[in-house]
Amino acid sequence: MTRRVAVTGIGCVSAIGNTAPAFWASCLAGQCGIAQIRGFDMTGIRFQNGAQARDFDPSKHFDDKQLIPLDRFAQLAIVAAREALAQAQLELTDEERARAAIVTGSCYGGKTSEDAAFASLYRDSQPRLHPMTIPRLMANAGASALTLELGWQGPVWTVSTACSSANHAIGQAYWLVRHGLADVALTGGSEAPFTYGSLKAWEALRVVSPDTCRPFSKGRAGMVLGEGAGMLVLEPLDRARARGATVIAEIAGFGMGADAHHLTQPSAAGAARTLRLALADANLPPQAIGVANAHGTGTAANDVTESAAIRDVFGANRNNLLVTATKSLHGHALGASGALEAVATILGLQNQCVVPTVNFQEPDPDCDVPLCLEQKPWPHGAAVSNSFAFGGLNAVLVFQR
Amino acid sequence: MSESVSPEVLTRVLRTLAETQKLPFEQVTPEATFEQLNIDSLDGINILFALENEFDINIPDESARLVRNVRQLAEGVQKLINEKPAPAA
Repeated sequence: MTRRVAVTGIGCVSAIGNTAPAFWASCLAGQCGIAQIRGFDMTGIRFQNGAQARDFDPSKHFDDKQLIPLDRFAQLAIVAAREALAQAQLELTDEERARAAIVTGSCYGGKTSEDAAFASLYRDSQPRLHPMTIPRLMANAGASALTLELGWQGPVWTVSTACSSANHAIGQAYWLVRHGLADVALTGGSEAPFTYGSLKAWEALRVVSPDTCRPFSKGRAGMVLGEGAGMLVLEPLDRARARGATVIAEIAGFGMGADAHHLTQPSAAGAARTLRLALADANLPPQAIGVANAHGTGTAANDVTESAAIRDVFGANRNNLLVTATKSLHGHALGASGALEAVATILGLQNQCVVPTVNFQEPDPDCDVPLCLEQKPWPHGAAVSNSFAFGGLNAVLVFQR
Repeated sequence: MSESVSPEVLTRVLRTLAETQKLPFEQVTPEATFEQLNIDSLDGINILFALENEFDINIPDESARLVRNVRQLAEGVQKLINEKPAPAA
């Protein structure tokens, strides 16, 4: 069984908007969400800026009792999922609910809770930890909380593949629906990486920019951490049409693969191979792609190898392509990044508009890609959205209208 | 600007490098390039971490990026040691 797969609901929380419409308005305006990190003492950390979801207020979405077992990353997942579900207006039969899938991505899981718990233990010599420490920090906490809220009982799991987590999650949920293993799926990713311990760990890796994120630009100085969540509701296209739902976009293909090259250095060959796998899965030639939402982290290494991969796959046709790197707007939200980029890509297809890559200074001859620097009309065709994780794990989604 | 490196600092840099890279001490010479020593980007940040601990200094990302060989590394370390505020009397 092979079915076309529609996206009928989207939701997100991010540094540039706590709903999909607010996020989209910021994307169109080129509103960058990168600012001084708040919430704890940043003295002694070499970088100071991040893309925090500053306006996210848990008390608007949960009562005090509900918050006890929920780390911030799970709260973000639930709020984004509620928005996507409200838009999709699914009415599930008992049989459909028994097969309904939830596949989420997260790099860290409940790091905020874990960091606070271990600080109280090691630093403050507290004799005991809160009993909800484990349920809060498990990477599937968001997915599990959603099953409780929705009563969905089908295949539910969480993928953790660093910066590719959300793309791997969405790709697997897409395949479940495409091949008839679930009739509806909720999928995406969420991340809340702003803890003192994890910021110190990122500092040690020397890939975080001291100022801002400048994908594919000369003078780029690294990535900027972000937080947030993105969620999609997927169902067979025929089902969506039959019930009169609005089809926002279709997922047309998914590809995944490993570089088997280096723990942190990306490989152009691995990225190109994964792009080709995604196009083959979508049964589309490279010239059918009009827009690429790049992984585009703004690190020295990623942007050069990703440019080489794009040149390799799209060749002379790359001049008919527009590349946008929305991490310049919402930061690198690790396991949520692919989901935020999916939301930006889907809204781009729906509104036939490509959002700008911001913070660009001047062209880098090593990053020769047709970068979209201002809001532009959608050129043509379908879109790819790239995620290339540390550890060399790549995942590419193909979206079409 | 090249900094004149004290013999003691140079030896400690070479030793730290050899220990971090699991190389025989004799193989790490001031004239060796990182390429010759098989030092990739990931090894590079491990070495910077070890040097920061060895000399109690903070090596900024920008200066770390420009270093290509052992001598430049030792000069950079010496510069940071010279810039360290003298301990209060």
